[in-house]
Amino acid sequence: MSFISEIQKFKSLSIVGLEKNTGKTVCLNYILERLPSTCRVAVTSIGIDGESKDQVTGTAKPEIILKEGTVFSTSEVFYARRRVLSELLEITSERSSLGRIVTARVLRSGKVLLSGPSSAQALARWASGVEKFSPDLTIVDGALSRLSSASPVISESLILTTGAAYSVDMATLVRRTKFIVELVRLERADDTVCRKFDGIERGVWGIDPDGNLIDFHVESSLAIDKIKDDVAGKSVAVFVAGALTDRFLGLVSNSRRVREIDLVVTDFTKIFVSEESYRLFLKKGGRLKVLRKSKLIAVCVNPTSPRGFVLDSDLLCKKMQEAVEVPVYDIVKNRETI
Amino acid sequence: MLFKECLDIPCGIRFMFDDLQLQSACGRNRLLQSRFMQTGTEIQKAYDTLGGCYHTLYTDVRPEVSSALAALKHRLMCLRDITGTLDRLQKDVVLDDVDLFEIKYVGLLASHVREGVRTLGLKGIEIPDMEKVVSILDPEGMRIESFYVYDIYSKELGRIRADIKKLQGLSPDLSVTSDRLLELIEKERLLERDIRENLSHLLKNHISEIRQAIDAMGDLDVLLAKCLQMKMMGLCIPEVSEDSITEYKGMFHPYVVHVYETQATMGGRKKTFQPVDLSFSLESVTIIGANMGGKSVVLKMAALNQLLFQFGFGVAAASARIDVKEDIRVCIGDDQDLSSGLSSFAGEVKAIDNVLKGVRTGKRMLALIDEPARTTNPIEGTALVRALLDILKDRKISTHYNVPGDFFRRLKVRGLVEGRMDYSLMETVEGEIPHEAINVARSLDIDPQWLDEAEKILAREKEDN
Repeated sequence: MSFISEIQKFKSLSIVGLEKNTGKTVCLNYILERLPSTCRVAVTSIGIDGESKDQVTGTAKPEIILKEGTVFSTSEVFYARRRVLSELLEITSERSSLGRIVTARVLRSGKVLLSGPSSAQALARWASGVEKFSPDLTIVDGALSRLSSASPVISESLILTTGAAYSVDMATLVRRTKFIVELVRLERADDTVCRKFDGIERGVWGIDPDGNLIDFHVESSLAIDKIKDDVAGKSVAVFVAGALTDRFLGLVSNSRRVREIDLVVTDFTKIFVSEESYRLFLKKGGRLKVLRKSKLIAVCVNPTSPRGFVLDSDLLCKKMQEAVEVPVYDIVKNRETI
Repeated sequence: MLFKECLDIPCGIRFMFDDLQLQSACGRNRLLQSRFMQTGTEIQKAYDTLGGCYHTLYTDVRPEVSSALAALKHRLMCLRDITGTLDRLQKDVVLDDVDLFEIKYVGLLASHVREGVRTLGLKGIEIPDMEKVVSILDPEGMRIESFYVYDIYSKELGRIRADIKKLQGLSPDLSVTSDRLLELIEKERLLERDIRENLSHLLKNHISEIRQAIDAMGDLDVLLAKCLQMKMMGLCIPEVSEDSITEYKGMFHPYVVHVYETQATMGGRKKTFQPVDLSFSLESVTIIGANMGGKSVVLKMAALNQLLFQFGFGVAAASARIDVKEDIRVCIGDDQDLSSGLSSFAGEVKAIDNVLKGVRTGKRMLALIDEPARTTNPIEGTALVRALLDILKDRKISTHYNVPGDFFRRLKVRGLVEGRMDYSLMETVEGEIPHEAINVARSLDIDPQWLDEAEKILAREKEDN
């Protein structure tokens, strides 16, 4: 039960899968079922190009089971196909390829297909708009490989789902999941540093030893050629407002002052670096920090791959647990014990 | 002529449109589709409403007025275009929950807006009552913006739903386990369908009311935006002229004023717009004056204000009395069109041809032509202008050329006075040609050698004559 009570500590939750068929929907349904009926939930899913079928396997998108009182947002088309008795509350101004996004409240438990706003910005708007129905918890069913839907701007907490679908080699699976978990759990930069960089939306910036803000006058870390020497020159902290790339990380890694700098990004969804370059950066003594972080509540594993390959659930949970410092669950196997 | 067809008349009307703070797409559409009013009564009525509304909202500054106005505007912001839904209803399509929700939403919105109009005490605005529509979709009388096929619509539905709930409770994953449950779910579906069909049928009788209510809310949106624009730009409510005389006191151009203000806030030199008085009746008027004397701006102001008048906007002057026209044709600016391969001259004569065609229709119209025949040589140009003035009556023209004749009235821009431009207009007699091009050019710091040479040539020519 600690899992569910942990979730209830936060106002918002995102569930993101590292690969298709890692059990994202199972996980969502599990949470929706276990949350106490006093907890008012608002839920939506990031809609990817309005697919109603799994593009890879051709199977129908799984339906979500919603309890009475739950508020949900989905597209007009899916609303028409709902198998739930619900009261329509709002037609939002968001649109998707499956029509406008509508919000409704469940009057009698049933099943729906969720396909909500399709960009991180639209999701953030959804989250603030749905506040008027005063939910205790908003849940976003994130999309495959769309970590942006788990941005701390949208949700305070998140759950990662991973499994044999991501890799059938247990060691690889654990290593790659561990890397993502590390990024999610990156430490927040010092308050003074956060205050300086907060609100900056583009470019590369630094702070000198006297605490002054330095603008490196580049649009993004992609245009780093211009700033070869300056970055590490005298800064104590360097902030990349946009995407953090391998090249930029390499630039900081190769600096003689790598140990003296805090490299800061907005949040983990802005990190686009390979595991290798990140490890190298750490080995050289580099420190990567974030302005905003969300709480990683758990890692849920699905030992079954869609091709039928099954990993040993207990062993997988054990190995994963050793690698990451957050609770690891196999929801299907242990549904009664967690 | 519709408002949207006037937007490209190069006089600044698009600027006025863009400046309007409309809350809804419906308001925007209502304005774009609004007609060029052609009778004094119609225009007078529009200004009575606008004037009354302006007075209530902005001459009375009680705090509750501005908060009620903000609330009303917020309501209007929620106005959605549901024409598609209504069109389908008209065609006997059975509406689904989303459609029914939309109609209920608009119905409730109309009551709120009615209430808002009443609170503010705005006169001359009728938002149709949609209580009948609302009661169809709100059988429980909760007046909440939400919709589903309520149990109350049919006793049987309520019973079936209760049974389904009971049976479903037995299976936690909601899988349909028994034939009985399956049967009930199917029954519920059929009943809901029948109810939606019935609701659609009932609502069909109210389509015109719903459309009227949406249009009325759109019109209210336009009215409030016009009021705000009046306040922000200092526009006036004009008088409808009954003696064919149009008379402006302190006429200005909001776009030019806006540009000056923007430049001043950007730290530029502070320039002020010099308001101009202008009056004319049915005779032709030519405006002569030096370069940069504001001739084109006068024509643009005349065109803009005539349009604002006939679409019921506040007018850009301290006060105005305006004659109602049936049409307005304008030839201002360089009509050279690279895409259609017209030269400057061809573009211009085609535009003037358009004005003349309008005149030939016999309509009471305002024709404004800026510098006719400016794109050809002065000898033929003068002849063309003269012939044009012969044909045109009640039209204004600005020109550089000095055309002799006593069949038209002539206004002159006062021009450079002690080195500064005076933009006011004065009556003038024949024979005065605006010879200020060189002086104006000097004030712009143009190469002095060039201007000196030109003056020498002029002096030589004078001696030769």
